[in-house]
Amino acid sequence: LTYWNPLSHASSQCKLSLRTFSFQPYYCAFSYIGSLARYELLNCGYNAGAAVETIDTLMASYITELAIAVDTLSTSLTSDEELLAKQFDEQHVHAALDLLRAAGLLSQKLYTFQQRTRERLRSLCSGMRASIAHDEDATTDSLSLVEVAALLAREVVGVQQSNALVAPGKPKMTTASTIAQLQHLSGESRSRGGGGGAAMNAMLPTLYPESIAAMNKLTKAGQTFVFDILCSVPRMWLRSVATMPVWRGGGDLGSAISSFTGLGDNYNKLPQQYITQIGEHILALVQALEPFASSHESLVIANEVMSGVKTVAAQPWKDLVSSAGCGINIEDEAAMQALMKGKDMRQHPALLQGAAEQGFYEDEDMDDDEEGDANERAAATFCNEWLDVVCSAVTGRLLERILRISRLSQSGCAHMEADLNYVINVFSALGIQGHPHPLLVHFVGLVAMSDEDLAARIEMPAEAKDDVSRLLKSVEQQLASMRGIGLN
Amino acid sequence: LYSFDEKRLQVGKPQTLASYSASSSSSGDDLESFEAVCAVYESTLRFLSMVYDANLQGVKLKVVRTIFANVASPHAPYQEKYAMMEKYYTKYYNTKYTSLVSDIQAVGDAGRTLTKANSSNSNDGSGGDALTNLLQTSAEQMTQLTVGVFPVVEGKLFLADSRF
Repeated sequence: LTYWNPLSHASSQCKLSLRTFSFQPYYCAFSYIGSLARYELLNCGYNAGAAVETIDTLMASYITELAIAVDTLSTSLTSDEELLAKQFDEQHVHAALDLLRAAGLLSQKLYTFQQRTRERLRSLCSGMRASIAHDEDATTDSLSLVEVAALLAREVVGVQQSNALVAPGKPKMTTASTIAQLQHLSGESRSRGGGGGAAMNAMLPTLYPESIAAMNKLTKAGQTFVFDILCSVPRMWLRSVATMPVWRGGGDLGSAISSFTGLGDNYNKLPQQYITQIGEHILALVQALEPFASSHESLVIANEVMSGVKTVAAQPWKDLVSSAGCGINIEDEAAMQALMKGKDMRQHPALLQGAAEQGFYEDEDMDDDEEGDANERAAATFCNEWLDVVCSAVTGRLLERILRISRLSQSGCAHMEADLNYVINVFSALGIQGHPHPLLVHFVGLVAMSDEDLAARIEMPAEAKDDVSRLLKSVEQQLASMRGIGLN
Repeated sequence: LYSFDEKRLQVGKPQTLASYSASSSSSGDDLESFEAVCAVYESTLRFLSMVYDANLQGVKLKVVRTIFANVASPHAPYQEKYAMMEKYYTKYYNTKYTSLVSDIQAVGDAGRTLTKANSSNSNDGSGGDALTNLLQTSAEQMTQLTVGVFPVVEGKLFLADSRF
């Protein structure tokens, strides 16, 4: 500080007091700043790639912790199935959806933060350009705080960076190349090419790829958590379906009562308790989901993390395919999704006639102006998405459990027909797109079929060798085997 | 201000970290933290800006830069190794970040605790209330925790308001 001039002390004191006053609010607020702010302070735009990568790593680690916590919570609660199922309450659904909304909020904030980072990198880029525009031999009236920071960053980090990154075969990293890097990261180079707004932002490379990957994990964990709560009751009731003595004709209270009272077979065809509990639960879910969906704000946030929600119901279908042993690759996401959706299956020639006719499908591009306002439609869509997931999981799990039954007597078939018809009626009443699933209806047809017809059907060679044909053939053979119909 | 290597050694020692926590809780002054280094650097910038206005007007920028670089030289290693320092500091020693992570882990553990408690008191009928309470509390906490990371990674810098 050889240039310090005591003679100008009085005027400098005046400036100093003004500066102190003007910076006071910021100084008080300084007690806490974040990673990006520290980067701006120390590096002023240099080494932007490393800084962004560091912030990405920190956020990804944090979001992964969130995903693990939701996963742990979900796993702990589902480890005791009866706890969730027997204590089931609408408030649990609200809480689970609130948790999903929290994940949606994070997703929103992450994209906003990415956008703000780009803006700050653009600002740093402008600052760097202004800094290098100064002539080294020139003088200036004053240097702002920002200019001093840029001057020092250029001196320390810029020079060091230039020296450090000289590698054989690689271009030297200069201030100009740093500016180019900032322009690339901030999207400035693209925005100059035309376009703008949300469309342009969507085209920009992501700044935080690790965080977005972690966000996907959190999304999946949140969706699974809601699914576990919604499906706790069906899961508990379906657990013991395969081992129920009623299928073998043993413990058949209905037969005993009907033979005693003379009411005939109709009594036998009342749906059993397990399926009525499931049906009532699914119908009650409509009321449980609606309060959350009626809040437009919550819905918008939760919809951020609703993408691919149906995949949470994939496991029962994978188990079903494994039980059927039909050779469909359960790791083939597209094949599993097509199977779960069932839309293409409806057209399949091997499907029983009734199965193709039932099921609610509407054109996706139908004119929806008639149905209430946009908020109501959004709420209905949200509820239907979750009901679709639950119905799909129940269908898959129920059919999988049925394939695990060892023996199916005549009265067992009658019970099963009643149970399946009941659940089909429930699904039809809900009016959810794609339900009842054609395979469920196909099962009813097979169960209701006479032994002779079923024997004739399984002896017919499959017309096609596609996934659906193999699955249908396999379940027909298994049901025949359960019913003791011999295979030649 | 400690030299960079000296400080890095201090930060790496567990006993120093313990004393750091003790001192920060008692005095409320995070002298050992990376944030404190940034605070000192920020003050240095403010000081240099005022020095220029008061005493260095008319001096060539090349000379000014050399003087300033000398004055701010203790901060240079932090500037050069920002990415490494930031990752290390925030993940392990930034109490705001670490306490958020510990709160997140507590949310996950709460489910395990409830399941254990329920299995040991399965007949007292209190499981339903406890489960509802757990789910509601977890949802509220997660809402706060999901947004809690952004001030830590983003923060606010006064320089941003006066940038060029």
